[in-house]
Amino acid sequence: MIRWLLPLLCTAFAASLLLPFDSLIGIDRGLATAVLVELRLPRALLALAYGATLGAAGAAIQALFANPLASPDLTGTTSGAALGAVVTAYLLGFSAPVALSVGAVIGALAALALLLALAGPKAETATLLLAGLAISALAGALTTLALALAPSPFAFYDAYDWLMGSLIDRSLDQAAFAALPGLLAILLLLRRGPALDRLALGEEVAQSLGDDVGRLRIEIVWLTAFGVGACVAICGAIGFIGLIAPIFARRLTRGHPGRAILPAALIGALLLLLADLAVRLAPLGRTLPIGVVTALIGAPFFLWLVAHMRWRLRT
Amino acid sequence: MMLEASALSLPGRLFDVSIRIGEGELVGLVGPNGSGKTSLLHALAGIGGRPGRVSLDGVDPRILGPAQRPAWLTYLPATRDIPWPLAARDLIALGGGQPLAGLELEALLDRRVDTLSTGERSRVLIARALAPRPKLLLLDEPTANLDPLWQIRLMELVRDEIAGGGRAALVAIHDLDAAEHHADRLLVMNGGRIAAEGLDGPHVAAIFGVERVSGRWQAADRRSSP
Repeated sequence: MIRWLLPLLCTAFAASLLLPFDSLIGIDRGLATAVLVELRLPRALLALAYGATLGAAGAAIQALFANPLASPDLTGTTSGAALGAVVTAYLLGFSAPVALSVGAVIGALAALALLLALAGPKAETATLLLAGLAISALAGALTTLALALAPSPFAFYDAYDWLMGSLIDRSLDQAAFAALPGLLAILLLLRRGPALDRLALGEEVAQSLGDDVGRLRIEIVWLTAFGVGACVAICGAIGFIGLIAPIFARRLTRGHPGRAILPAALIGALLLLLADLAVRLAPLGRTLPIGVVTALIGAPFFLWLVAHMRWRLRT
Repeated sequence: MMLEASALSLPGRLFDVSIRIGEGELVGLVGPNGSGKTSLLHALAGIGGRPGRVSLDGVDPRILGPAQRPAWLTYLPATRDIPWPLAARDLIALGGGQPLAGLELEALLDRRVDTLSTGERSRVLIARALAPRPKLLLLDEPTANLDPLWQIRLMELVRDEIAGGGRAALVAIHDLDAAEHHADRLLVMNGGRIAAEGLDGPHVAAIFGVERVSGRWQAADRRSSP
């Protein structure tokens, strides 16, 4: 599985650095290097790290809720993180990357904690999605309110690109602020993989096998909020990667939800790199926010998934 | 004694229960709905806490992690619902063992558990609990959903399994005849306590509301009607 995912990922990463190729040749060498290192490298690294974080976090959340429709965006985690970052930047006035990250992580954590409190850990799909929808709507409304109340008259305009999700014009330092927490969260989530697999046997059986399910739940919530929050703080909310990547990943792990965390991270990174390439190469004259592209591809997939599940429940 | 447990309490469900089980013993646990059978199994398996004292060959298995625990005890819950649709083979492997031949699962192993009938799924879940060959088997209603032949074969399989030495089983069961037939001894639970041993005596009518009339169980209040 890794044997063919990894080369694909490397190819996409290289393409992300080199395409479009004509803006690298025929120009001054120093300028070409600057384009490569200061513009494209942070962007490619962010796509890699954010996609991988979303994939791994999505796999872990789906395993935790035992529900293939759970994901960071559908549970309100990304909206909560966005709200946290907006409040920190525009109402509290802290715009340093660390402050944004902390604000976003707190927002994500609050959203996930609220979801657990509202829907409970063993929620039916409908309850989970409704609670997630309510939290997303609330966080979205509060984000708009925060921007409306912001002292800066340009807050809306300022935040628009970021809110829609964007990997453009970030420095290497900013990329590190998203990538390092994301990577750390992925590594720690990977260690919980076996326990999440045993949770697939049911909570009671997992406990009888020696797992502390209560602690596992809190750890997954923290790690997901930490990784996703840090990425949202830098790049805004990007949807559907965290939903789709784990679903493909489990086809490679015979359905094991915990074992799927690693392939979900790789597939998530691949998907976001490809989405970013699509943004860059689309002949539209101007740049689309990447969140729009992932939503345009992801939302129909989600609809298909819901229809498919309904059809399967009926037969 | 192989298993010695005491002071097992769970708030509102289990009150200071003590239990001792010897090597090779198959102990049946009977009692009306809500009498605390499942709660007792939970307390012994370390589900939702580790109340009281449990000693299995001198060790409290409830403090062992996932690497060691399945060799000491396994627990079969009464529910046959599986939150995540895995293949039967993978489900059994996650419990930490290889499926036993006696359950005739060969044809089911590569099917996803959500595509199996309830009875087939029961056999897969039982296989998961038996597969690690633990010292102590804690089985909650293992014969539910099984056809008559499999009910008998399963209890005989459990009997064969624990006969090997150093092993025992505690089995909660609703069918009083089956419980009496298969178990070495029966513990009768009522109101979160072990109220009696065996099914001979006036306590049966008081606890269950049934009594044995010429070998068949019937509602105890029938006696008063003509």
